[in-house]
Amino acid sequence: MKKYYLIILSTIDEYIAYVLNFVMWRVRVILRLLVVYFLWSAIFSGNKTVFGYQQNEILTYILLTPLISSLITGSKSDIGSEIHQGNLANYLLRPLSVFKYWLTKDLADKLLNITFSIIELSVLVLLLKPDLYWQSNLQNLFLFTLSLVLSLILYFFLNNSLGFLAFWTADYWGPRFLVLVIQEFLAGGIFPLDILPRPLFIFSLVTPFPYLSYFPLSIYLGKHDLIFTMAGIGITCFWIFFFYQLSFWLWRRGLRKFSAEGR
Amino acid sequence: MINNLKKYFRVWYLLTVNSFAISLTSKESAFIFVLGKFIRLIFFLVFLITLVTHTKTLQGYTLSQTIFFYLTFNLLDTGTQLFLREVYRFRPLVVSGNFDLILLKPSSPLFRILAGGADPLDLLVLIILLFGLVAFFILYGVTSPLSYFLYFLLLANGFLIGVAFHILVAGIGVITTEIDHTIMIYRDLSSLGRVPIDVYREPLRFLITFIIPVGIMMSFPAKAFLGLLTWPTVFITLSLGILALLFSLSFWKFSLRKYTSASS
Repeated sequence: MKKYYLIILSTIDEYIAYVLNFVMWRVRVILRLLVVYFLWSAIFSGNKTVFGYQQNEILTYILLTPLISSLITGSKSDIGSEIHQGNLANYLLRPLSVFKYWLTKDLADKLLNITFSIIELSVLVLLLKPDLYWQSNLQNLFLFTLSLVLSLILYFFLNNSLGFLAFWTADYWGPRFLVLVIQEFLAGGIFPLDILPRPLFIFSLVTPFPYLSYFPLSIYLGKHDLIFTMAGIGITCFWIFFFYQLSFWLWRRGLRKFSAEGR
Repeated sequence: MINNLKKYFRVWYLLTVNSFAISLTSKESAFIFVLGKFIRLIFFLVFLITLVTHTKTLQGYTLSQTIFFYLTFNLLDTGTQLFLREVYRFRPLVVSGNFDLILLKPSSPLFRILAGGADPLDLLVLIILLFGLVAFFILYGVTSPLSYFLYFLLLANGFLIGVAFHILVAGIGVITTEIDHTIMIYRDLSSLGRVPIDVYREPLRFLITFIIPVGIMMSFPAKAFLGLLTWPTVFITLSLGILALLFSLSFWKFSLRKYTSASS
């Protein structure tokens, strides 16, 4: 257990080695949040309700999005690059599980991310004084937490599956970029997905992306009934199973091809 | 002067040919990147259409006008990325000390790190955008040559401001070795121009118009085309563009004096 604790410490050290780089990264996170926040504030000027959302619901959605993202998708680990540059050989030789190593690094990333996101968000809430939506229904809060945990697992395996493409191609960044673009939109980072035309919204729900941000947030806001929520949790579980199987299948096949090229 | 321009054009041409050859090494990968850029473009457009169809207007702008602002934003954003892509690859040169090799060459180092590798993938997106723009011009039916003149003049001014931002980022990179996040901060700030800047409240609107002039860069060409800018505002806009460039150039010279070639 101690070695994984040390991995967490060394990952945090890596982050703060280039202080300015770290600071600029956090500035960027805040800026991205403010861009969306001001856009929605402008849309609501003169409108009390837009797309069935009250202003406090949308602003809560927008402010919680970076917090959720920092927990779920906020990871700097680049498995593809480790494979491509041959660095994977180093990890294979060490007396630890490579999967557990990546998972620990991922958790360290997220620990740092979430800590800073909470601080930044608290400061922004104090400064901007937005009218926020507070969920008090225990069932919704429980399902929200459950959905967050499932999203965390889903993204870990999805991210690994994409990274493992580097076993076969040096151009692993292409598919990754494409998924990132689709994820940016279909995860609901800029707006809640249910404002989209109905067919587009329904289509988005069968992809894994809404479950990375939109779905947990909509549960928090109490936007869906229990049947819809349970169906969403079921789809998340399906995608977890799919990407779990896919990532291990790619890993086993990939290792047979791996030649530590570049080392 | 003419000979100098010819020399730089030749250098740019050779570097661009090389850059195109590198980018198109893997045609599948190039296709995926272009597809990704195109999807990104379409996704936000879908959002804008959904939004403005629902709210009828966006701060008084109709749907077609809002799309025109979005097209103009993308034209400038893609145009600056197409010609100034090399800045995104500048950090490793500073960190490794290989920037020394560029400084030793008998040409402007600034030219090399700004325009040293046009991106063909952005060129394809730019062509699609130009088709969209022509379609808007035909459908909107503005025939005044002055509107077109002002639009393209302020578009050029917007590009000048974009160049100034990139020079500033490169200068910061020389001093601090931090570029990657700074350039993305510029991209995030400029993304405020995806919608007309009039939708934002004060003091944000003032900030993005006069302090960090991304509003002037992205929104003013479209506003000029729609006849929403007064002549004094046009002159102030052009002056700010030139001032931004002069400031960034002097900052670049300052940053070069601070360069220590630490890792070489």
